[in-house]
Amino acid sequence: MSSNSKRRIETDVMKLLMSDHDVELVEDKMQEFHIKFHGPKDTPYEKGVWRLHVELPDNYPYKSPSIGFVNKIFHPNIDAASGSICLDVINSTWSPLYDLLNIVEWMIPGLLKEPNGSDPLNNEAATLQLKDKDMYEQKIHEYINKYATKEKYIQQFGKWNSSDDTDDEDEDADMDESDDEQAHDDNDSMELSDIEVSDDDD
Amino acid sequence: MSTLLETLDQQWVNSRLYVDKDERRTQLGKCVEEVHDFKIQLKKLKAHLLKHGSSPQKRLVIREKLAKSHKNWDSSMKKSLNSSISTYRKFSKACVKPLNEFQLDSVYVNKINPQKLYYLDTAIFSHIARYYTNMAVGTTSDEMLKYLHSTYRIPRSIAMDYIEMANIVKEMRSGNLNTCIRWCQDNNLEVLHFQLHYLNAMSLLSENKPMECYLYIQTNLASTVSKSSQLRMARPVSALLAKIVIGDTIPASKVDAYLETCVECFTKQYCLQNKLPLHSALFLVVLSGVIGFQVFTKYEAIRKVSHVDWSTADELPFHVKLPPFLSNYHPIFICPVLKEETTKENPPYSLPCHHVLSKKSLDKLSKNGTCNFKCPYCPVMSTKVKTKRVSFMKLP
Repeated sequence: MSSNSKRRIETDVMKLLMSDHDVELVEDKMQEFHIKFHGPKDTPYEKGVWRLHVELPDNYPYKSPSIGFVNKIFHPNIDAASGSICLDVINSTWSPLYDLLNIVEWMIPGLLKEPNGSDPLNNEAATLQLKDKDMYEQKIHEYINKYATKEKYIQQFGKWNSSDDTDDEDEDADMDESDDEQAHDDNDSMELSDIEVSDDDD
Repeated sequence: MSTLLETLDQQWVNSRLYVDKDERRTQLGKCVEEVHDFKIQLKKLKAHLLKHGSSPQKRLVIREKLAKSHKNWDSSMKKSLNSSISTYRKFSKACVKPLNEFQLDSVYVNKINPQKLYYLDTAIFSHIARYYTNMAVGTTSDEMLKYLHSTYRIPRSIAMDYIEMANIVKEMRSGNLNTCIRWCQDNNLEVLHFQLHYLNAMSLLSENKPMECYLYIQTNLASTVSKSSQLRMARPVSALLAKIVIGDTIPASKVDAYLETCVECFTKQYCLQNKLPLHSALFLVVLSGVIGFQVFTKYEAIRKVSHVDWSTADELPFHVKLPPFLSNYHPIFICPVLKEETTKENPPYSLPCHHVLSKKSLDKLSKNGTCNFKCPYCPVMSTKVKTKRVSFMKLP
């Protein structure tokens, strides 16, 4: 691996980490790691969480990284058994301008949002997607419940050391303001006539 | 400095670096108001007591009222105290704690070379001279120089740069524009020259001296306005003349605001003419550090949990996004493929489609010139022989 490739890989991984992605290096090598991936919002995959396996070739970024889903996902372009992804931008039309953050933040979410039924790796998913939307989504949820919930993820991969669910414990619930409503309106029990007082000190 | 901070706050961070004066209502301020109200209430009750003290029924009412308003006041004070304490805790947790725990040296490993500390001193001296010379004690230049030297040990050579500027600004603020006007004439600065005369005319009108204002315009502004190249300056003057005709005046606040505009323009021009930086380098560097601080702490936290290497010397492992006025001093070109800055050894080259890459990435893509390759941007096919070396230049 050339020094330029090494530097480029370090830059990419660092960018992932700095953008709050959970990256776990395999044997502390920078060329192989796992990334925690949350299903994109407003898709049937929304509630799921998957682990991506990423391996960078020696001549990265000239050659594309190989990426696969570790836990199972139901998707026309992802092989259910091996988890390999069929996506042109990380295969034939890869450009060295892309980086890992692009892959994780827009290429894979894009694929989950818009599957490409004409070039399937999972025929069952492709057929259902075209013919029976309800059944298709049901199947996706079924897979999530079986393989990709938070519990299943922890069961299978152990750690969940991510920053995305550290709810700030706000100890100071704002005290309700209701009881000072009557603080200043005590003049209505008008038994005392108003007396003018100057507000300067005596 | 402060104007920079304000634009920064408005456009860049929404973190309320500067709170609007009218909006500022602190817990303390609220307490003061409430104590005041309570005091008034007590006085009222006292007056009632003096007037109706003989009637036991009224005394009872007064006592009840006293107890009630005391209770309200007391609970409101406690509430304010609690809310202050919680705000303070939040601040400690979010700002003070990370600041104390943070070891800058472990993130920023590029140490300042002791031989270059001299530059740091210079930056500090220039900073003080740039912003605080107008506060120097003394009226003559020599007295001011002496003051700056004895108080801050600013060398004469640095202080000298700013003394004339500080003196002129001081004079402008006191209402005397003559030195500044002369300075503009000496340096052929037509626009500023015009603005200063315009300012004089404005203040004459605001003092309700329309005739003097008219004569002033005639002697000092007419020649400039009549030049065809300066036509755009005729507009404000005609507005002023119209005000004279209809017997209108100008509010003093408008004159003051325009004075500040002139001071700002003059400062800019003075720095430009004397080749001085408009903003102190020290201030800009510290500001960049403040903006970057959150990224530094984040990096530090990440490094503690994951074992990632960063093997590049003299470069931070992350990008700190800065506003343009902080980042456009030394433009660099970063190769989009290698994601690193181009150098003399690895210069930028342009492809036939005009996309620019570094030499090393071109060597890789073309397998040292042995084959055709696709441009990473627009996939047009290209060869290494068709590429051209690029040199960047800064347009004025």
